[in-house]
Amino acid sequence: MMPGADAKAILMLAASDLNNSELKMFLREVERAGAAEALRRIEHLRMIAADQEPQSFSYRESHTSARDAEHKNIVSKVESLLLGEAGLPKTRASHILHSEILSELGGSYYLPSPNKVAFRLWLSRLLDQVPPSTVLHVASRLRNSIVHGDKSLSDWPLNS
Amino acid sequence: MLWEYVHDILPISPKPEFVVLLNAVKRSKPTKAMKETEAELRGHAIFGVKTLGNTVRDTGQLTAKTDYTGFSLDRKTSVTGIVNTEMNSVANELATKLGIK
Repeated sequence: MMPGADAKAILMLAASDLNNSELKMFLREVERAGAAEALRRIEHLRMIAADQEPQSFSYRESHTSARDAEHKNIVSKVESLLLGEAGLPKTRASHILHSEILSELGGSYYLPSPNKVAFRLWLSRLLDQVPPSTVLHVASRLRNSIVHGDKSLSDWPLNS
Repeated sequence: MLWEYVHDILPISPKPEFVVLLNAVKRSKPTKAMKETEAELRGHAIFGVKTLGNTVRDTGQLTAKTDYTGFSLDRKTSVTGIVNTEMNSVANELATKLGIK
């Protein structure tokens, strides 16, 4: 056995939640089945783990990228409205949007804080909690109010 | 007009859920007039929150063809993947808004 390998194996057994009687049973079983059989079982478990691990990671990645793709267009629109057209600095834009959305939703919602987070990342987190239509509604209302003081410049202003 | 007809004239109850979806939105950079129109709609007190954030963008993939019958997204082109992703975003948002997802 390589130096330290026996200590590692003992340490792993010690870290398991097997009690003394279960440990005795395990050691007797290894003795009965032989080292080759024990190694075969360990290899088998390692193969299953190797198959499972990449799948679980790729699931998380695809889930995240699908959600990010859905948020990407909305994030760009909000940036264009508040940073581009309204000319707000990012920090001011995120704080004012945060407060306006809270007031739009009634104030009892938990929304991610815009403090110490990149603007795009905060918007993406916000879109996990708030429908895109509401975020764009509030952002557009802010933009309209800043750009032309709520007065419509459209040739066909909307009624109702 | 449709809103007024359904809410003020048509004697039905409950009133149907109104959802606004911007269709055939140009992929090129929007003009000032296009930005103003969209911002006015999205900022509107009634229609703003009813307007889906995702839009159906202009594409030949969704245009009717005289030589093709079937679902437009089944016809594979170089932009099918992109249009499919966009339509999925619209469908997911719509389903969430209608409470069926």
